[in-house]
Amino acid sequence: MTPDNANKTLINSDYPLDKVVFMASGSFTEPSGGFGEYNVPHGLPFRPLLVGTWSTDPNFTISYEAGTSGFTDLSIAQLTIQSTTNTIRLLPTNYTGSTITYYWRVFGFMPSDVNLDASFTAAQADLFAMSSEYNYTKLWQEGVLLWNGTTQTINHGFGYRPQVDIWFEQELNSNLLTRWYQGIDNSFMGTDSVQVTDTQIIFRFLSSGGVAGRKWFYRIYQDTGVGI
Amino acid sequence: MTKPKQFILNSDYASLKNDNKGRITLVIPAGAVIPANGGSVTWSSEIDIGTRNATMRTQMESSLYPGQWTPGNMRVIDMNMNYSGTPSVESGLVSVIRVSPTRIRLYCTHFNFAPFNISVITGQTVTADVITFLSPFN
Repeated sequence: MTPDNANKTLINSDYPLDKVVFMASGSFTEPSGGFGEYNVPHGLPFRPLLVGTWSTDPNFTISYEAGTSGFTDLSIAQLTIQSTTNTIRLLPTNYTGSTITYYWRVFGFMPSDVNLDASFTAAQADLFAMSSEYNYTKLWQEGVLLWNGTTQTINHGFGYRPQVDIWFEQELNSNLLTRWYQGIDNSFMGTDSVQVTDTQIIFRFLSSGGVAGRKWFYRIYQDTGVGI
Repeated sequence: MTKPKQFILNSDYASLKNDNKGRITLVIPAGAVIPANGGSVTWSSEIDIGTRNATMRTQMESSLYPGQWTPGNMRVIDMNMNYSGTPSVESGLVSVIRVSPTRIRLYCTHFNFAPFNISVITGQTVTADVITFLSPFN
């Protein structure tokens, strides 16, 4: 099947679906006035590729992606979420003037360089595993690149911009794995950036503080990243 | 337990259900003035998309750099500003956040700590393509 056709199906047995191998949630209270750090053991034999959200409401009526918040100035409050070899690392910022209870939820994928047994995350027989009401994004390629101070390119040739998810090891501590969240205009060279085109995913490893060998995990999907 | 990578799909593992996609645009107009001495201006735009605790995959583009789409919920953009007659390129931060269970906002807030007003020389449109997923926790 051509990539274009795969993009138009809800499920395609030629490509694996995202399988969530880890889920966790919790809360903590952070007083106003600075930064905090909380580490929660994840019990996995690998660092999961985490996707996290947080809320000030235990029901998550309004929730925020990790690294964002409801404030127009993100330096007032937000929550950074990382994975380490042993823990989920939660880094709240709180300059609101009030104590915040952070409710957090994370789920994770297995990195491309790991192939291990994983505990089930959806064993309830009374829940739908699949529903044709929804699309299931089809993983075209996963892998890992090593930061080396150059531009590295992955050719996909789809003819449209695919969905992409990326996690990277921090420059100061390779044990810290964070989901990529921020693009940057071209004029800011000297900074790492990722660009998605109709034919390629371009990783510009140009950070002035970059460390050779740091891992960048990527997941590229058959599904279009175009919003309309 | 089993090795999840041995299966194309496996109902014992939660999967990500892609429930919607949308495009949101934000216009930062040429000539916009940001007041002096700590003043700020916020430009924002909203669309209805997703459900409670929906997660997102986002890509953004600035009209100053057409075709350069970057993944992530934030983007640092160039802003060509007039500093009392002197042009200067500053960085601005554009973010996508959820403002209600079914609504997201694309916004940019720019501050001015100079003792004089500054203004936008070159306007731009920032576009965000957003794909939402049901939370596995739902």
